[in-house]
Amino acid sequence: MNRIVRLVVLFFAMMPAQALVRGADQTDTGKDEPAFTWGGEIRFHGGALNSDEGFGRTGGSVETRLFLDASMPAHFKFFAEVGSGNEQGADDPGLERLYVQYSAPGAKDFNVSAGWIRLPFGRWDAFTLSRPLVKDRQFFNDSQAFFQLRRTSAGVGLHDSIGPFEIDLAYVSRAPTDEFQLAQGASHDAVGRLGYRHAGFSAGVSYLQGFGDDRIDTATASVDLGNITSCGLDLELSRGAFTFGGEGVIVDIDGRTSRGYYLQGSYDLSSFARGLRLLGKYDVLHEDTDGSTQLFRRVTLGARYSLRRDLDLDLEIDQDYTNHKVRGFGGSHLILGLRYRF
Amino acid sequence: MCRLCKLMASGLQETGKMMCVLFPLRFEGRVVYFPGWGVGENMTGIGLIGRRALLAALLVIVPPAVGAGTPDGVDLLTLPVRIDTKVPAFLEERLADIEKVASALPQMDRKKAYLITLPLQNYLEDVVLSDNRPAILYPRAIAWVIGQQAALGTSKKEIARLLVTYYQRDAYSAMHVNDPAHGVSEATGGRQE
Repeated sequence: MNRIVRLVVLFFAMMPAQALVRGADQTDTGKDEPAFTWGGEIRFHGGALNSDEGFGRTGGSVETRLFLDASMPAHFKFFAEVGSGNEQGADDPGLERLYVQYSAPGAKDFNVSAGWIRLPFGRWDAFTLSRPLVKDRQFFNDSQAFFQLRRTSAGVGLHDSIGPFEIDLAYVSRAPTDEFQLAQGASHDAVGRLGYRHAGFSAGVSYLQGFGDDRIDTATASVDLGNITSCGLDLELSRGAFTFGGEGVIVDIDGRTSRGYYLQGSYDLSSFARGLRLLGKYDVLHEDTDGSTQLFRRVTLGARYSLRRDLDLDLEIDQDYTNHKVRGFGGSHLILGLRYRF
Repeated sequence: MCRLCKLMASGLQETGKMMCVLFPLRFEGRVVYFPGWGVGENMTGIGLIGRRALLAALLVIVPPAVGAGTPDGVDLLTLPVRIDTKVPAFLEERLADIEKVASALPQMDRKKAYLITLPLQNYLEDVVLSDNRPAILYPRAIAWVIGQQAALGTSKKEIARLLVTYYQRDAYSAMHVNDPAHGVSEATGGRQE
């Protein structure tokens, strides 16, 4: 046989085999997910914990999380992230996420969620143990907390993406998540984020508009909590071992403006020691009160080391600076953390 | 590369229907890649093999490709094509599965594969999951990249770094290894296909 004949024979021999492979793997080309997955983690924190609400808490000495992800019929999905902690506040671990999600068949990345969902405003958890001030602050708290850019709220949300662009919209209740109920007559927020994500770079703009008629009288003025707007800009760039990002937020509460931003970065030092990464965050919050503007700044440096795949050790130092002494902010904190996932 | 290989490579690649054989063939102790999914420079070894032997070998290899097994019993097809999750513990289990499969690939062993995906896991947990985004994994593609880089003699640290870079550039989703109908392609080096 000459070479051409051999190739022809080879080609025709491959065709049925290829058909067999295609037939055998027809169900194997899409997503391959189990119908039910669960997991959990437990975190231990020690040292000078900052547990005062509103100042970038690190949480209590013990926190637990339990995750459950279950596929349901007709493109529905149930997801829950619940936990416990001994510093349960209005926004502490407890009810992190609990929702039912519907993914439209045929659409690549379109879904609608209902339940206790994450607010689509910027990004959420920082790389560090302590949370960003502007996201943890309960504004206007001379007597009580009025407003917070909460992590989670009850409501409905929508997510879609077209190419590198993504959009999130949500309409949520402003009730805190430690109350596992929907308060009647509470104010609501409409939140949206338009983002761009491509090749390790992401950027987004967020907007929040408050609704409702909650007027609260403070010592010096009357504040309409229905008249709240907030906008934010978030950026993040990841290149190999290096990730750098940040977020800036402006909150306007009935004419009183507060603004803040944070910059954070992480560097994976696995080439030096497997599982070691350095973390850093610089946090600034300008808060406009009935009196003067208060300035809070925090510098955080930390290291996280993976002892095993499921066990992380954290060491973090926070240094606070402020022109206005308030309880729960100031000085320095040394925090140790241990996180085990199962 | 011998003329036969060049002809096969050009002809079959143009058809886009080339048979998928997931692993490099070993001829005379050398790692040899089939055109279209391997490294062309290494194909000079094929020239040492008689053309009849090559044809026979290909025909023998094609049917086992249905199960995508290898002589060592490694089976990339046991790994799912794609998973997305927001559960950290589940993510870790899947990455451990990838390492288990990768450890049996040519020029890999358990020690080299152990925790090779840890930087990727840390990136996913610290950056992706903390941003309320699901971690989208392509286990088959990840294992294939590990195997190919190991065959090229890349160090463990460098492979671990590459796994993160490919994820950041969304390179796994475009790899043909995810589509058994199209076979295994070369690593894209981060480029979108």
